[in-house]
Amino acid sequence: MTAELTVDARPLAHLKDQDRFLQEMLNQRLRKREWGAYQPVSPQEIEERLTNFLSAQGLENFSIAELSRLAGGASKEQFLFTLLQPGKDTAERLVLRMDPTDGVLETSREREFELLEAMQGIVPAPQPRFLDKEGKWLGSPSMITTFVEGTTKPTAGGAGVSGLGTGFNVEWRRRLAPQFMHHLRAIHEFDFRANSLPHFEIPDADPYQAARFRVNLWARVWRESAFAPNPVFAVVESWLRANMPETQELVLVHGDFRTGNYLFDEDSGEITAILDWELAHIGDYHEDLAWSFVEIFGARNEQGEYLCSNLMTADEFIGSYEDATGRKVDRTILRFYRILLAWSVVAMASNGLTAASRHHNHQDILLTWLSMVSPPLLDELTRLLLEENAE
Amino acid sequence: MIPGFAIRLDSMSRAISSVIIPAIDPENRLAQEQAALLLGQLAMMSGQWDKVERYTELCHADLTSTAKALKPEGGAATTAAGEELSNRIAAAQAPSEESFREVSAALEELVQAVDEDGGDAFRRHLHKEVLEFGKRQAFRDRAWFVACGFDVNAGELPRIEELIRAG
Repeated sequence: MTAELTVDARPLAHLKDQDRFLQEMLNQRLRKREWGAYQPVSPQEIEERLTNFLSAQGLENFSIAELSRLAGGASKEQFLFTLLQPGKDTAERLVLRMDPTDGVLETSREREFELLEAMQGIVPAPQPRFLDKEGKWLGSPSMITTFVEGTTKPTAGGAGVSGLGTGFNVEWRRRLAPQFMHHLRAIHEFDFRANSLPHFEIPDADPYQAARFRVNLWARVWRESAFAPNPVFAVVESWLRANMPETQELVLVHGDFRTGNYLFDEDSGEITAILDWELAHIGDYHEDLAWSFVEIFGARNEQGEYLCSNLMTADEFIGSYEDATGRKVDRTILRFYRILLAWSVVAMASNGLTAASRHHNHQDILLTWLSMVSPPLLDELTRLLLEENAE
Repeated sequence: MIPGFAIRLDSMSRAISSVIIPAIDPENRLAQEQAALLLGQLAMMSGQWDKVERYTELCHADLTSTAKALKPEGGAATTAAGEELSNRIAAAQAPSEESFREVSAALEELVQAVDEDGGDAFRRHLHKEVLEFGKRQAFRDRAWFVACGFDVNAGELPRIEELIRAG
């Protein structure tokens, strides 16, 4: 029997319904479209700008040392440096994260800064220290956080760029999986209504708004900046609009919660920081779970079984979340978000190629390389939707 | 003709690995990473450059035959998008990246138009045909880009030569 791929008119009536802060970020990105090539900033220039910026923050008699450029981070230009201040016992290792003109996605340093402040004491995360939200001092919107020691992969592991394909053996999985779930629970239990997050809109106008915000966000990203057209993208969008789930409970969603986006200490095995908060928003908890089901973010175990985030089988993963939180995981909603996320990564990858083609980033070659994630994602998407069509 | 792509790509890779990478400051992790990516791209291109034409023909033929077989049914938006698709297929004489984009764009616009005013039966048929084509194209592209290492199901993919031979 063939299931109908129906189109529900209700969500289509709200095509522009979007978190107003994200809407403004995308408007800003449109304004940057015609800018010239982005020029990476030299460490010498950064040191000078940092000195002026930190002075303006009220720091006196300080010095900057050991400034070096960091790799990784598909969307930010990053530097590591040491801040030395008289009277302080220890030097402070800090990370500067700056926005290039464009990358795989447009995000807000102000939102990220605000959220990192809120997460102190909730989960291990870098401490936000300074914000140049409009780039007045540093040349582009930037923030400075503490540097956290740790690694995204064990020394023997062979992770690729951006944390994709991180390999864990049985022992590492045993050590990391419970912590992974513990921190996810802590994020989802954060009381976002009681704590001030002024730059995050709460999608509670109706039960579909949380899902609709996400579909509208990535649909807009695709329409405005896809590198090449793809009819599959439009079919998936149509399916998503017709199948939006009601959200039973809104939580703080990390937005990219997966292996590759946390640091751990190789000796103790402890997770030392949850990273990459730039996609955080208020939404459905199934969304954070779904990241681990998107195949490019997992791996296969010694028996060939797929492991979510290379840590747990699907049943272990769902059972572990349900046990930890008391929430029920609805597999239909989980599947919706898995499709939405795979689709959103196709949009990000294509956006990254557009950024590279305009020379709007300091890592054009990385963005071009990362865009090759699209074929496995499109395979996953077509497989999932054709399976449903055949049921 | 001489020197051809093979030796030019090979000599570039050798220069990067044996001279340029050792000269990069080990503390400059961004430069180290970009040099490694450069080597990776060159290695992939070495395996692809002499197959690009046949691969493009294969992708283009599948896309145009899928699109040609569609018989759009619906209102004004669907009819206009259907006509535009036919025009782009007719204009796409020689298979190329550009013609693949042109027909893909028209097919994407048809899907959007059908959501607006297409008939239910045609919409279901169109979605199924686009997804079936998308699955075949994803299979080809996964094989084409397998060396990037993102595919957890890489073991099921053929070599590019086999893919092209099978048509």
